[in-house]
Amino acid sequence: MLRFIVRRALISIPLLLVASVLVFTVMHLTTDPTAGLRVNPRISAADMQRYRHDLGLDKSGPAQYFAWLGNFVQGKWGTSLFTNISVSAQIREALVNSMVLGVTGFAIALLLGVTIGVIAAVRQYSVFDYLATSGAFVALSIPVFWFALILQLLFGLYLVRWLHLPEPIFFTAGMVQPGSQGFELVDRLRHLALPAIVLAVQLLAVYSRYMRASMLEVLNSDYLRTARAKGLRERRVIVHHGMRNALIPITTQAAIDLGGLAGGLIATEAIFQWPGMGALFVRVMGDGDYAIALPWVMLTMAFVIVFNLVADILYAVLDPRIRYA
Amino acid sequence: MLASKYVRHLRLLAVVGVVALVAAACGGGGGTSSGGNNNATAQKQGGKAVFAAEQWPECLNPITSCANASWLVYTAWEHVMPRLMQTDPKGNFVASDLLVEAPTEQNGGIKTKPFTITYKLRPEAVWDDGSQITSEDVKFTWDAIMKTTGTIGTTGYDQIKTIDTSDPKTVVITFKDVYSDWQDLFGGNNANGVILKKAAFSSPNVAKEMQTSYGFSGGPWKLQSYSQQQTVLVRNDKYWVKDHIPLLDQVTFVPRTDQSTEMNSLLTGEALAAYPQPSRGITKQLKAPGIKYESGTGSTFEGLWMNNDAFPFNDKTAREAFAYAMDRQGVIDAIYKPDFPEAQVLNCAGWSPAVSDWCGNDFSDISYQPDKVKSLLEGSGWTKGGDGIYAKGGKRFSVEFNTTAGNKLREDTQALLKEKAKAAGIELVIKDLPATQLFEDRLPKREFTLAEYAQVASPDPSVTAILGADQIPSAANGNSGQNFLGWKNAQATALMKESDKTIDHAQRRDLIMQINKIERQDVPWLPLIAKPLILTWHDDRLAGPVGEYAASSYSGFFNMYDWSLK
Amino acid sequence: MPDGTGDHPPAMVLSPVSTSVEAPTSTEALGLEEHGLSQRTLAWRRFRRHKLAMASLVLLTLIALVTIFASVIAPYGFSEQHLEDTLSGPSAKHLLGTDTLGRDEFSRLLYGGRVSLLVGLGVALSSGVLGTLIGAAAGFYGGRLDNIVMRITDLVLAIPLLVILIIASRVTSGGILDIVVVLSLFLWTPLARIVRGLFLSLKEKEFIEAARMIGASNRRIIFRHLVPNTLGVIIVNVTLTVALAILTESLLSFLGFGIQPPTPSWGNMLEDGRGLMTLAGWLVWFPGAAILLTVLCVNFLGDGLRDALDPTQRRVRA
Repeated sequence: MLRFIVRRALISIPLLLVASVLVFTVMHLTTDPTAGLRVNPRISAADMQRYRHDLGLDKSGPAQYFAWLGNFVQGKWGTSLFTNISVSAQIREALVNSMVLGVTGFAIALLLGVTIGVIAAVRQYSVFDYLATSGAFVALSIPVFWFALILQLLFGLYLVRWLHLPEPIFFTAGMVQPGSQGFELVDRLRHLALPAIVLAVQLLAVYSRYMRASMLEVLNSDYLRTARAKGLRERRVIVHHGMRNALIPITTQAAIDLGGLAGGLIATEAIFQWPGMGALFVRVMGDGDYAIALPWVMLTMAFVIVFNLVADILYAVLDPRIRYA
Repeated sequence: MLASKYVRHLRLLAVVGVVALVAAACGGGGGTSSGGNNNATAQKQGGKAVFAAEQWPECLNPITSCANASWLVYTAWEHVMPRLMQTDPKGNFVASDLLVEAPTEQNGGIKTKPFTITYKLRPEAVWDDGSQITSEDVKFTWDAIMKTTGTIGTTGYDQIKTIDTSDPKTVVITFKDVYSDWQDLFGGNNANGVILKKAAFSSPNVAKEMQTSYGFSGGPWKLQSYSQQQTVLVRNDKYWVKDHIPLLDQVTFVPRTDQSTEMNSLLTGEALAAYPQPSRGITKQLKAPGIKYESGTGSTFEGLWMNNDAFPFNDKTAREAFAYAMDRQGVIDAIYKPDFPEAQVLNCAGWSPAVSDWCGNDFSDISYQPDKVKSLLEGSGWTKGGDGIYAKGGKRFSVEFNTTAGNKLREDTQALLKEKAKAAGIELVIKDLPATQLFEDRLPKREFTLAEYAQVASPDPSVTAILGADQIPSAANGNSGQNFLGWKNAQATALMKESDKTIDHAQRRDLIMQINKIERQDVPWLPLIAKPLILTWHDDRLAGPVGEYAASSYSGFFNMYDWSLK
Repeated sequence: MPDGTGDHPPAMVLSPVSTSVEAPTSTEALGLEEHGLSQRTLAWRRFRRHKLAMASLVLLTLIALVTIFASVIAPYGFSEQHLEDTLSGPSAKHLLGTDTLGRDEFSRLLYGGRVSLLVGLGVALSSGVLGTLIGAAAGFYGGRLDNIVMRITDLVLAIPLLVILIIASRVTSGGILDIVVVLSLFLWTPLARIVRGLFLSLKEKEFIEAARMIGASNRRIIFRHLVPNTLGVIIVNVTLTVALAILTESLLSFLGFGIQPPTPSWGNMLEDGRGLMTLAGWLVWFPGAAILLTVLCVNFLGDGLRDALDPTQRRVRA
């Protein structure tokens, strides 16, 4: 097991490097940090040239990349290409925001998903089951940004109008009440609610389906029949034997989803103005700010790789039938 | 007996007094957009307001590249930093609060031989800590602009020879030569049109400073905080123009970068005002109870830019024929007019009618005339092919049409022009690109045929940077220069250079009109529209002359010191 | 699938071992034995029991037909502008209303369906072929080839979807072919892993050994024995990829880099109308419903196929 982990970790390093080269190449070839300055008539050619030199942009692609890499491996992430704001500070802030949103949505989805899946499996073909199944499928089939918009309009405009509320139940943009300085839990929760719901619904659909399918298999399996025949109570049968085994695929999928949270959410963050990792990446890719984009890619991929590893380990630990080459 | 009589009179007086007060309060109230300064008794003091910002600056530094973001101006430094000259809502240069008066030739502020501008700063002008704003601050700013690593706008400032600071309240700027755009230095519409406080910095290289805060203020507001989530401005009680001390206690700008989220933010009342990009249907959406908007023509103009060295635009007749195949009026009627009834086709090539009087009408004879297209093209060797598109020498009149991706207004413009052009025998192939790709790849390397984008017209009418023959980017000069058209007209360029040096308005206008005419003859590009600007706000919650600066290049938020809560 | 989070299945080796106590490892119980026609009939019968899948099949066929014959059914061209009639609601003249340039929404929906379905099918098929070939090669030959392939799939799987989309936006021109190619290049990995896993385990089975002993060539073994036994899984995966591709196309449009206007696709119609949702709801509800309905049907279809083609297999849902 340990050797396996170490080997995976070692292989991950060249993976991260290759990814960073790939992203840098795309950025270098297709974006220009100075693009916005070019159409400002007050910025002269001499200004542009001096500016490019100051930023090190007149060096060749490989030269720029290795200059960045040299600093990066020493832990010096430096500052953004345009501002003197530290890269690590910006990424950290975005990461925290994304994790708050992600973990909340994830937790809701996991709890609800497992519950719904179990109930749906136990009461197969009931109304609840059909509703849960249809709901899950709809959640998997709706474009996310449309769903987010619908929620935004519903809570922001229509509910306020119909119920004559002084302000929306859940807020539709931002993380905090504009103008507020401190930390107010209720306010934060009311801002967190809608984006968390959007995320939770997507994950919920997957978890409830997994749970239901696995539970059904377990419920119909022979060893459970044997346990029942031995006279164990239904509840104990389900909870102890059924869920434990049914949780295996969910645990691994959940671990992987957790790893993916570091990358943020594109549409949800854009629509709800949540300053997370997704919004950060869209911005820096558009600007051509590779000083932020490359650490972003490395960090998010590292998360994914680590959690994938965790998932594999969990799977091996939980299911003794699986062995690795 | 006497006492009770007096008491009765007193009571009467009291009643009359109360009635008078009530009458004054009721009658003088309202505080709507009746121009000029606020009637302080009619507007409430205090309170906080939230406004939505469509874009968000990356940092606060007004000298380095963050300064290129207009929203840095709109949400931060225009409210916090003092300046020398500024523009009024009509785009005319006027003296700012810092100056006693605008320098003119009459009052000795402008002297030629050598070209010198003398500014008189108000004696009562102070920074927010009470220290005087002096000529040393102006000189320091000049140093900062010239010496900061990564400075982006030395144009003009490099024309300054010396700044005399012998008198702390008089700034004497001597130039190397006549520089007619002097009003855009330390003010105007410059990205770095600010005055910095010398005492706040240890060196003129301010590259690392002012990233997330300003340590000082010389404007009606102070910047309390800035982050990716909001910028908070608070009243500056030390501001020396009492009339411009803000009524509101605090203004918070929040980024609402997605267009529909921005609209929702306003409609739900989260934001009390917004300054959105014009878009189709926007004014209808704003017809909600309590919401008002004010629109006007801005100083940015949109155009169809032709690469004069690319087929088929390397031939003047082809360019003119193309112009007659563009249904500009159709675009205005279908895409802009439904929301902005005052929208008009732009008929001068390089200026906006909203800014002073530089805009002639030379292109007004160009309208959608397929017959003219036919006669011009067939008269110069083109023949209509079987597919309805003209061809010459085996090459079809098929033009790749680029613009920035994701802009609905431009997409619709392209679609409309394409259909009409097809009917006239010209094919447009639409290909939209990410903005950075357009402005980095295609334009500077001149790898385009036809592009649509917007150019800002500053109050100073100089167009040399975008139309001068020596401003064409090429491999030789490292692809710098903004004459992406490649228009090489020696006569026009000479006129441009001359006008850059002309101070007298009438003389300058004369030169500009001549440039207009030459452009009409050559048709190097086709102006489309001076973009409308729109400010929208909750009229049921905000009072004051809110819409006054709607079409100003400073954004509609400029006079928020005059706004108050209802 | 969550936007930007893993739409990738667990990174693990899959084993087709059932969880029942009897643990049948005979190929019969796996339901994969090649018995030709009768097996197909069995699968079809199982499929028919899944009512939602049946209904979805019918509906999808209908949708496909309607979009294929768009040029016959649509009352107007998709770029035909009626400038006197912009932003008007559903009426007799324009069944589903018009957009900002007076283009008929109903016609655009039909033509847009063509584009969206083409993208969906195109991506699904090409990534399906690519994933199968790569996975088969890795699983069958093993060794160094397997190692290299696995590392590449690790890399592709680990790249966040957002990065992929933005890279795609930079290198595509907004044409259907471009988008199909770029999306396929990133979406073949889940299937490759699954196929590899199946090949790895199947090739140890007795019937393969038997085939080898009688001198069957590698090619014969792969194509006559191994591939047919993994076909069920492949079909399910390809079907579900259609759904994913259609949703991804709409996400690309949201970012501003989808199918180039004025060519309509459901994704770019949805995004274009989004800003006008409160004003001209028909511009949003119809493309949105079209995407939702189609993807829903594809998902149900995939579910039904899964039930039909591998009923006793214990697989992690991808």
